[in-house]
This record gives sequence, C-alpha cells and structure tokens, in this order.
Amino acid sequence: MWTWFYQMASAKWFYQFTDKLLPWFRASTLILMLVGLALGLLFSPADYQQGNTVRIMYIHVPAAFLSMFVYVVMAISGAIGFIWRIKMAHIVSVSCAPIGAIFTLLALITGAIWGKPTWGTYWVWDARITSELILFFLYIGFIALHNAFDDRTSADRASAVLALVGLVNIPIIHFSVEWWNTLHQGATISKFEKPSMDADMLKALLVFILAFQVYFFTVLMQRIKSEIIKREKMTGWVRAIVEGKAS
Amino acid sequence: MMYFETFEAFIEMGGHGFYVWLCYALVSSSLIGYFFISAKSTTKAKQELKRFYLRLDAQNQVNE
Repeated sequence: MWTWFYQMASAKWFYQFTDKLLPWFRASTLILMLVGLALGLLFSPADYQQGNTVRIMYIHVPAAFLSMFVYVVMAISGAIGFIWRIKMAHIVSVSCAPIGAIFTLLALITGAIWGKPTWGTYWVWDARITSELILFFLYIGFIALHNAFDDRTSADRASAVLALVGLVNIPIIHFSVEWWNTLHQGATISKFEKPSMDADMLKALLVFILAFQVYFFTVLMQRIKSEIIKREKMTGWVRAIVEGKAS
Repeated sequence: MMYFETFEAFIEMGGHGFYVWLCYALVSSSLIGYFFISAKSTTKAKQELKRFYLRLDAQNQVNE
C-alpha cells in the first residue's frame, strides 16, 4: 500500500505511468464520445415538453457534473500537496484548473442556449446558474493567483488554499435547486430513486457522462506530463527524455 | 430504432435545430481543441527544454 503511495508521489514514475495509460484513454474517449453522439442524436426520442432541445441536456449535464467533479479533484489534491508537501499533488491540482474552467464555461453556455427556446430567456440570476458562474470565477481566480507568484512553491500553496476555500461552493451548486425556488429544475438522476426519465434518454446521458469523465482524465494526463518535465528540468531523467536518449 | 425518418428532420430537429447544433458544435470544438492544446504542450515544453540545456551547457563551459 505504502510503496504504491510513494510511487504515485514520484514524478518520474508518474510520467512513465501516464505514458503507458494515455493511448488506452484516448481510444476509450473517442469510442465513448461516438457512441454518445449516436445515442443522443439518433437513437433517443424527443421530450414531450422540451422537444428536441432535450438533446442539449446530454452534453450540458455531463459538462456541469464535470465542472464540479474537477473542482473537487483540484481542491483535494491541492490539500494533499499543502499538508504533506507532495509535489505531485500540486502538479495534479494545477493541471485541473484550465480543464475545469472549460467544462464550467461549456455548462453555462449550453445551458443558456437551451434556456432560450425552453424558458424564453438566455439567462436568469437564479441560484443554480449564479453559483455555477461563481465556480467559473473561482477557476479563473485559481489560475490568476497561481500565475501571480514568481516562486512556484508559494504559488502552489496559495492557490491550494484558494481552492479549498472555494470548495464550499460545490454543495451550494448541488443543493441550490432544493434550497431555493429556482427556475432550474431539480435532479433527474439520484442514487436513491428510480430516474424519472425514458430509458433511451438515460442511456445517452450516462454514456456521455462516462465519455466526459474519461476525456477529463485523458487531457489531465497530457497536462500533467508537460507540467512534470517543466518542473523537473534539472533532473537527469527529464534531460534524457528531452534529448531523445530515453522514451 | 432511429428517431428521425428523414435527413431534413434530423437537421431541423423539430424547429430547434439551430440551438441543438450550436451546442454540439461549441462543445465538440472546445473539447477537440483543448485535447490538441494539452497534447502539444508536452512537445512544446520539450523543445523549450532542449534550448535550455544547450544554454546551460554553454554556460558551464564558460565557467570552466
């Protein structure tokens, strides 16, 4: 157990490990995305209220889910790095930020486009939408704060604290539709009840959620790789890789 | 079972084609775009480091 933990903390081991995993993750992302597209656009019915705009939900919901999931990964790995001073944890945390920001922006934009034909407006300042917008600002703040320091260790530690403080926003986003009277609808899939939707629609949604998740880990590994070699440039093994003496 | 009977119906999406296709275009272009940006960042970092090592070696020779 502990050898595994120490291995994860070693940048060299992590780099070689992601190198082996990446082809598999890239292929799975592609397959899952294509299956999701087929299910979402071709093999699922239109909604009796939303019509065909329900198809926007198959990418809006995964983007929104990932925007929160990525934030939790970013905050927890930031905390691990802060407490145990593990370099690799900070690398993971920093690499999460731009990916999470993209998912958040996509969730906001696809939601707005869906809102126009369904609600009659692109934007309302309701609790769910506003807290998601705050999440976007948290990501931007994290990236800006990290870039504001010349010293990398201070940058890592400061942005980890910001990520942890911002973590309070995640339950707010999640429960906003229950705590306040929002225009945004409640959850359709829950762990405790049978989902209140058609089986074909549910299939499309679940495949897309899985596809987005695998996509996240793929681009995360690609970001981590470049972050590792930038930070470890003074080590012999990075030099060997860069100069083509090792794979 | 395919839901749409004709290709036109598939494009039109019951009058909501604009919204649906706009969303899919935005999401797929962003995800594909960032996939290549993140993949390329490693290659770019390697090229920068190559130059960095050359400078480093040159400096070390001067110091000797």
